Amino acid sequence: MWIILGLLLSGTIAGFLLSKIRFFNRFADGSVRYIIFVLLFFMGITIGMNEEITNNIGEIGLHSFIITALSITGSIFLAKTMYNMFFRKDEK
Amino acid sequence: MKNSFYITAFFLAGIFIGSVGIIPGKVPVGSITLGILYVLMAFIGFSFGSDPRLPDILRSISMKILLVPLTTITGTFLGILVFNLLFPHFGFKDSLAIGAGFGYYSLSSILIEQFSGGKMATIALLANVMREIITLIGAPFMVRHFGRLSAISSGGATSMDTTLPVILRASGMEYMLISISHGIILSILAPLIIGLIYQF
Repeated sequence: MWIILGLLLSGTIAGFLLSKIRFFNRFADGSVRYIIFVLLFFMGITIGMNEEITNNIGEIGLHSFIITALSITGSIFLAKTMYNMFFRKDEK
Repeated sequence: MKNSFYITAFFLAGIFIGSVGIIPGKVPVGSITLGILYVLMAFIGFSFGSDPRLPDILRSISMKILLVPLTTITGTFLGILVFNLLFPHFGFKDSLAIGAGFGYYSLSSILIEQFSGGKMATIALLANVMREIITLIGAPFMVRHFGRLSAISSGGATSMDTTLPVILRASGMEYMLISISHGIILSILAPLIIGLIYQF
């Protein structure tokens, strides 16, 4: 956990210091996408080898959908309240 | 959208290869994943730190702009609380962490895999991909019925890139700064909050 956060933070500082050098900038931006592809591929392998997951994929999909539906519902209801309280009056 | 297609394709290809049993048991898949994750975290930090929009965004941050990501975090966690009332056997930490992905499916699922294993990682991936897709499809409906902030809030961390075009079409160009800073703030907070949830 601390290794992960440490890498994130030192990466940010390095990126900020080197932000004038376009090459590094483009290299990091471009690589992130491909690293994520490789990582998800390996994660897929781990999950494919795990029978507890492959045998319960229906239940997993259902839970995922309900979590998302409720997260979005909570977000947009609260967003409506915030919009009406602080943002609406600034328009027009 | 193209990106989420590739990600899903790589993920499914991995599942297929893993499930047909051609990977010998002694290949340290877990350690390889962890090593790549470390590289990824450093690179994500780097590309965030070197983002040319960063100084502008930092300068424009005001209480009002911070209010929007705060709304999304609180709203998401309220939804997760309801989920836990409906499914009390589902781990509370896991469901909070999955919600705390805020649509950042690649990173959140990889982190959750490290903390809680493959099953929760799969749910995190699916749930957070769905968050992006539902926002892409539903943004106009949300803005019509729940105000101009709703599509941004629904998009979560994706409001800075993948869902930005549909958000701007639905909410108006004047919401660009709010939408981008909302996405950036949630992208930074997602890994921090997920880490914190599993610390306690």
